Amino acid sequence: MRDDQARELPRKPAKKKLMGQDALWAFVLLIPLVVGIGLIYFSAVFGFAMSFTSWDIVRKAQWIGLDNYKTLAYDGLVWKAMYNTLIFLVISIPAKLIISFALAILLNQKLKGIKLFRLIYFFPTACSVVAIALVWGYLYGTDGFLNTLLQDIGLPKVYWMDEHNAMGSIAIMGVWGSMGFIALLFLAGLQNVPTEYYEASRVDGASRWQQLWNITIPLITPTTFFILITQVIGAFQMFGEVYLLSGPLDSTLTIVQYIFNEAFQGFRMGYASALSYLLILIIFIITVIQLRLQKKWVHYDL
Amino acid sequence: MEHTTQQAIKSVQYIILLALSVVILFPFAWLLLSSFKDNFEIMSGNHLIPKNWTFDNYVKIMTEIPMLTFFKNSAFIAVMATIGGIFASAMSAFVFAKLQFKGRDTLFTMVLVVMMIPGVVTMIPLFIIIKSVGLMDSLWALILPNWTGAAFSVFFLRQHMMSIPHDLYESAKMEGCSPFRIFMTIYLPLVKSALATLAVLNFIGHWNDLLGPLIYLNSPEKMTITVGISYFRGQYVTDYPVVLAGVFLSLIPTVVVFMFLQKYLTKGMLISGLK
Repeated sequence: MRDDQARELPRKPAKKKLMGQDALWAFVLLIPLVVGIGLIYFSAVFGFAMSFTSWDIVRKAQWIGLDNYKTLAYDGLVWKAMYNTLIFLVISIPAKLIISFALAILLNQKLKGIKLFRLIYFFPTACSVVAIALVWGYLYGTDGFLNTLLQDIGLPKVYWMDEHNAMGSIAIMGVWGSMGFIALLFLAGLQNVPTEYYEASRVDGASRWQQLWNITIPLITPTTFFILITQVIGAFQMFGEVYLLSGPLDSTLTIVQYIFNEAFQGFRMGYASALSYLLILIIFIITVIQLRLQKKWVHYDL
Repeated sequence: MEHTTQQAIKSVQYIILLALSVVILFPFAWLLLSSFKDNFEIMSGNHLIPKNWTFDNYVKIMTEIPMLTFFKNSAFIAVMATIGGIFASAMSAFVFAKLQFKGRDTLFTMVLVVMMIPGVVTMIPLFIIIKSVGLMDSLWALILPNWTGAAFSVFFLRQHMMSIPHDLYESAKMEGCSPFRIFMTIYLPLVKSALATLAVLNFIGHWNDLLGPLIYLNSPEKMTITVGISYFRGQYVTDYPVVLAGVFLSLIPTVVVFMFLQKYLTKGMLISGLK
């Protein structure tokens, strides 16, 4: 008893002092981060306020209420940008998911040199959009290499970057650039599927196809869901690809590119801010819809 | 019989893997080979291998375009932003993982919420802030904002630091180590591979950034490689092997970083990611 007390007594004040030291250090070490997230929260509010003004950053900002939002509702370019994003999504998302998933299954096999393949497929992820878009721009030329290939095998030329095809061509480039990265995400998901499921089903006489449909695909749905959400959000924020590889007549205009043009070339900061809030609203709505739908197809357990 | 079908499946798998590798690598091969062609050859025909190999494009890009300056600018931004950003993130991650103070969980939630705010929202206000503090057309405009740390890095490093046994912290503290010293000498070295993962991702991200330099930098001697190349493309419209040589050179740093550290990257993604 006395022993216990003896141990307790000197300990308490010491502990308190240490706690104080902790809090002090926490305060000091967190200064950069607090400034950073403070700036982000401030910017979000500031930007929202700006979206109700007309402002060219030279003169004083003018409060114009909901005018910017009214303008954008009737702005054909906004709808064009949405339409372009939709084209991109419809072409690229299914292709990305199917090709990458198949690739991940291959990369999950015990084959010699598999690590080298992983490295190769991941390679475009390390490269800048600028480099990728420029190279593809030349490949897509009317007399570019892709058309030479097509003609060599007796097919007609494709006008890759004309008004109708440009967005599709950018989507193809997008699939090419991200399939290795997405395959690696799928691979991470595949490696988390417990092998007992396969062993048990093999005992029951399931074929490889049955295993794929009844075990692998359902169990990988959380990964699929993650990929779907991030790819859709990414598509709505696309900029570099279309800035460098743009088709004629706004055929590849995206919302972020439109925001960029309005803000930094037209210096219409208010309207650009309203556009950015429209974009966030769209991303938010789509994400909420996806989260709702997830209950219908995402399995977190068998 | 069984053996031969196994063999056949394996061969088919190899063929598919190889075919896809060709698809992935082809544009890079075309880029490299075309950068050794002269302008006449690239306009006249579309065979892959140059008939007359020439280094002129590389000479031109180094002499007629301030390529070295672009390189230096990009390297300066990427290195400074990466190191500062990761260090600040690690400090914060350590605080959230190990130190006790009032309001810690609220603050951490606020950090997590930041991850959900898309960059477009803060783009315009941040531009106005940077402009008003006089950092326009300065490389620091692209460095300093990163020195606050990034929400994702904080979250990622906190996960790793929490997996380190708490006793280590307690005993170091009993011996009179300050939290900062514990952080520098114990925790930072122990999360080396997580730091490497973030370093690769950040370096590649900063080096390849296009929107930031486009917004903040104006003068040619301040431009980074991404903007520089897209800017000078306009001047070499008819001489595109020169542009291609520049594009090829611009890929080297990230690819080298990626090759050296990719094992951390893939491991980091395969182990800690996405659950």
